[in-house]
Amino acid sequence: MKATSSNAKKKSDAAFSDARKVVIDRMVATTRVVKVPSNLRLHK
Amino acid sequence: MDWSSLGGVAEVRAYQQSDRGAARSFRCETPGQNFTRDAQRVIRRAPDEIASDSDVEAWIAVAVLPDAGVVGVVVYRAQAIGVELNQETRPFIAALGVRQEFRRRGIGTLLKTAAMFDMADRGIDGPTVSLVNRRNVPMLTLNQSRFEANVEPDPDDPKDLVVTAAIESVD
Repeated sequence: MKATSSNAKKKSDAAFSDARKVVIDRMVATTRVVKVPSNLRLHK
Repeated sequence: MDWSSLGGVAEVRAYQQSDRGAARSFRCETPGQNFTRDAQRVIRRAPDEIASDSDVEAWIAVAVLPDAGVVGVVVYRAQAIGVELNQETRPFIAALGVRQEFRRRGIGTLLKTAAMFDMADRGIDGPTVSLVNRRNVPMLTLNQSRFEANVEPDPDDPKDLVVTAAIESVD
Protein backbone atom coordinates (compact mmCIF):
# COMPACT_ATOMS: atom_id res chain seq x y z
CA MET A 1 0.00 0.00 0.00
CA LYS A 2 1.34 3.42 -0.91
CA ALA A 3 1.76 6.20 1.60
CA THR A 4 2.87 9.69 2.47
CA SER A 5 1.88 12.95 0.85
CA SER A 6 4.07 14.70 -1.69
CA ASN A 7 4.73 17.41 0.86
CA ALA A 8 5.74 14.84 3.39
CA LYS A 9 8.03 13.28 0.83
CA LYS A 10 9.66 16.64 0.14
CA LYS A 11 10.14 17.16 3.85
CA SER A 12 11.67 13.72 4.27
CA ASP A 13 13.96 14.34 1.32
CA ALA A 14 15.00 17.63 2.85
CA ALA A 15 15.75 15.84 6.10
CA PHE A 16 18.62 14.05 4.42
CA SER A 17 21.53 16.46 4.14
CA ASP A 18 24.31 15.96 1.62
CA ALA A 19 26.57 14.96 4.52
CA ARG A 20 24.18 12.18 5.51
CA LYS A 21 23.81 11.06 1.91
CA VAL A 22 27.58 10.80 1.54
CA VAL A 23 27.78 8.67 4.68
CA ILE A 24 24.96 6.42 3.42
CA ASP A 25 26.58 6.01 0.01
CA ARG A 26 29.84 4.96 1.63
CA MET A 27 28.12 2.55 4.00
CA VAL A 28 25.97 0.97 1.30
CA ALA A 29 29.06 0.14 -0.72
CA THR A 30 30.44 -2.02 2.10
CA THR A 31 27.26 -3.55 3.53
CA ARG A 32 27.42 -7.32 3.89
CA VAL A 33 24.59 -9.44 2.50
CA VAL A 34 23.04 -11.84 5.02
CA LYS A 35 21.23 -14.96 3.83
CA VAL A 36 17.70 -15.24 5.23
CA PRO A 37 15.06 -17.97 4.80
CA SER A 38 12.48 -16.98 2.21
CA ASN A 39 9.61 -18.04 4.50
CA LEU A 40 10.16 -14.81 6.41
CA ARG A 41 8.65 -12.83 3.55
CA LEU A 42 5.60 -10.70 4.10
CA HIS A 43 2.29 -12.62 4.03
CA LYS A 44 0.13 -10.89 1.45
CA MET B 1 22.81 -16.99 13.05
CA ASP B 2 19.85 -19.34 13.39
CA TRP B 3 16.76 -17.96 11.70
CA SER B 4 14.73 -21.16 11.63
CA SER B 5 12.96 -20.57 14.95
CA LEU B 6 11.62 -17.17 13.91
CA GLY B 7 9.05 -18.31 11.38
CA GLY B 8 6.37 -19.22 13.90
CA VAL B 9 6.83 -16.28 16.26
CA ALA B 10 4.11 -14.14 14.66
CA GLU B 11 2.43 -13.62 11.33
CA VAL B 12 3.78 -10.58 9.51
CA ARG B 13 1.47 -9.36 6.79
CA ALA B 14 0.69 -6.27 4.76
CA TYR B 15 -1.41 -3.59 6.45
CA GLN B 16 -5.12 -3.79 5.76
CA GLN B 17 -7.80 -1.17 6.20
CA SER B 18 -9.14 -3.17 9.14
CA ASP B 19 -5.81 -2.54 10.94
CA ARG B 20 -6.36 1.22 10.91
CA GLY B 21 -7.66 1.43 14.46
CA ALA B 22 -4.87 -0.72 15.84
CA ALA B 23 -2.23 1.28 13.99
CA ARG B 24 -3.63 4.68 14.98
CA SER B 25 -3.67 3.71 18.64
CA PHE B 26 -0.52 1.58 18.53
CA ARG B 27 1.60 1.89 21.65
CA CYS B 28 5.31 1.18 21.70
CA GLU B 29 6.36 4.14 23.82
CA THR B 30 8.46 3.02 26.76
CA PRO B 31 8.79 5.13 29.92
CA GLY B 32 12.25 6.66 30.12
CA GLN B 33 12.98 6.05 26.43
CA ASN B 34 11.86 9.15 24.56
CA PHE B 35 13.03 7.80 21.22
CA THR B 36 10.27 5.19 21.33
CA ARG B 37 7.74 8.02 21.19
CA ASP B 38 9.08 9.12 17.78
CA ALA B 39 8.49 5.68 16.27
CA GLN B 40 5.04 5.54 17.82
CA ARG B 41 4.16 8.93 16.31
CA VAL B 42 5.24 7.87 12.81
CA ILE B 43 3.31 4.60 13.09
CA ARG B 44 0.12 6.28 14.28
CA ARG B 45 0.20 8.86 11.47
CA ALA B 46 1.07 6.43 8.68
CA PRO B 47 -2.44 5.11 7.93
CA ASP B 48 -3.82 8.60 7.29
CA GLU B 49 -0.77 9.57 5.24
CA ILE B 50 -1.31 6.45 3.17
CA ALA B 51 -4.92 7.35 2.61
CA SER B 52 -4.11 10.92 1.62
CA ASP B 53 -1.85 10.28 -1.36
CA SER B 54 -1.32 7.33 -3.66
CA ASP B 55 1.55 9.01 -5.46
CA VAL B 56 4.51 8.08 -3.31
CA GLU B 57 5.99 4.77 -2.31
CA ALA B 58 5.59 3.87 1.35
CA TRP B 59 4.00 0.90 3.08
CA ILE B 60 3.02 -0.57 6.44
CA ALA B 61 3.31 -4.16 7.64
CA VAL B 62 1.95 -5.54 10.89
CA ALA B 63 2.92 -8.43 13.15
CA VAL B 64 -0.12 -10.26 14.44
CA LEU B 65 -0.62 -12.84 17.19
CA PRO B 66 -3.89 -14.78 17.33
CA ASP B 67 -4.90 -13.76 20.85
CA ALA B 68 -3.33 -10.32 20.93
CA GLY B 69 -3.96 -8.73 17.53
CA VAL B 70 -1.40 -6.29 16.20
CA VAL B 71 1.72 -6.52 18.36
CA GLY B 72 4.21 -4.82 16.04
CA VAL B 73 4.27 -2.38 13.13
CA VAL B 74 6.87 -1.33 10.58
CA VAL B 75 6.57 1.67 8.25
CA TYR B 76 8.92 1.64 5.28
CA ARG B 77 9.40 3.50 2.05
CA ALA B 78 11.50 4.25 -1.00
CA GLN B 79 13.54 7.22 0.14
CA ALA B 80 15.31 9.58 -2.25
CA ILE B 81 18.76 9.66 -0.76
CA GLY B 82 21.17 9.55 -3.65
CA VAL B 83 23.86 12.21 -3.66
CA GLU B 84 23.29 13.27 -7.27
CA LEU B 85 20.64 15.78 -8.24
CA ASN B 86 18.73 13.08 -10.08
CA GLN B 87 18.35 11.16 -6.88
CA GLU B 88 18.03 7.44 -6.70
CA THR B 89 15.85 5.87 -4.06
CA ARG B 90 16.90 3.43 -1.42
CA PRO B 91 14.94 1.12 0.88
CA PHE B 92 14.32 2.94 4.14
CA ILE B 93 12.76 1.88 7.45
CA ALA B 94 10.86 4.92 8.70
CA ALA B 95 9.64 3.40 11.99
CA LEU B 96 9.48 0.04 13.70
CA GLY B 97 7.75 -0.66 16.99
CA VAL B 98 6.76 -3.68 19.08
CA ARG B 99 4.36 -3.53 22.01
CA GLN B 100 6.37 -3.64 25.21
CA GLU B 101 4.90 -6.91 26.51
CA PHE B 102 5.81 -8.73 23.27
CA ARG B 103 9.46 -7.78 22.97
CA ARG B 104 12.48 -10.10 23.03
CA ARG B 105 10.71 -12.69 20.87
CA GLY B 106 12.16 -11.80 17.47
CA ILE B 107 9.13 -9.82 16.29
CA GLY B 108 11.27 -6.80 15.42
CA THR B 109 13.55 -9.02 13.35
CA LEU B 110 10.54 -10.49 11.55
CA LEU B 111 9.11 -7.05 10.77
CA LYS B 112 12.38 -5.66 9.45
CA THR B 113 13.09 -8.77 7.37
CA ALA B 114 9.61 -8.75 5.82
CA ALA B 115 9.91 -5.04 5.00
CA MET B 116 13.31 -5.57 3.38
CA PHE B 117 12.01 -8.46 1.26
CA ASP B 118 8.93 -6.48 0.26
CA MET B 119 10.94 -3.46 -0.87
CA ALA B 120 13.26 -5.71 -2.89
CA ASP B 121 10.21 -7.36 -4.50
CA ARG B 122 8.98 -3.89 -5.43
CA GLY B 123 12.25 -3.15 -7.20
CA ILE B 124 13.72 -0.83 -4.57
CA ASP B 125 17.20 -2.22 -4.74
CA GLY B 126 20.20 -2.15 -2.47
CA PRO B 127 20.86 -2.21 1.27
CA THR B 128 18.14 -0.92 3.57
CA VAL B 129 18.84 2.29 5.48
CA SER B 130 17.52 3.25 8.89
CA LEU B 131 18.23 5.87 11.54
CA VAL B 132 18.48 4.44 15.05
CA ASN B 133 18.75 6.36 18.30
CA ARG B 134 22.05 5.66 20.08
CA ARG B 135 20.14 4.60 23.19
CA ASN B 136 17.97 2.11 21.32
CA VAL B 137 20.09 -0.86 22.36
CA PRO B 138 17.57 -3.57 21.34
CA MET B 139 17.38 -2.27 17.77
CA LEU B 140 21.13 -1.79 17.49
CA THR B 141 21.70 -5.29 18.86
CA LEU B 142 19.19 -6.72 16.39
CA ASN B 143 20.90 -4.96 13.50
CA GLN B 144 24.30 -6.18 14.59
CA SER B 145 23.48 -9.78 15.50
CA ARG B 146 20.93 -10.60 12.82
CA PHE B 147 21.91 -8.40 9.90
CA GLU B 148 25.64 -7.76 10.51
CA ALA B 149 24.74 -4.17 9.74
CA ASN B 150 27.04 -1.25 9.06
CA VAL B 151 26.66 1.45 11.71
CA GLU B 152 28.08 4.97 11.68
CA PRO B 153 27.32 8.28 13.41
CA ASP B 154 24.60 10.36 11.74
CA PRO B 155 26.13 13.70 10.69
CA ASP B 156 22.68 15.34 10.87
CA ASP B 157 21.68 14.28 14.38
CA PRO B 158 24.14 13.42 17.15
CA LYS B 159 21.44 11.33 18.88
CA ASP B 160 21.17 8.95 15.92
CA LEU B 161 23.23 6.34 14.13
CA VAL B 162 22.92 5.51 10.44
CA VAL B 163 22.41 1.78 9.85
CA THR B 164 22.58 -0.14 6.57
CA ALA B 165 21.69 -3.81 6.19
CA ALA B 166 21.19 -6.19 3.27
CA ILE B 167 19.63 -9.63 2.89
CA GLU B 168 19.04 -12.22 0.22
CA SER B 169 16.70 -15.18 0.42
CA VAL B 170 17.77 -18.78 0.70
CA ASP B 171 15.41 -21.73 0.50
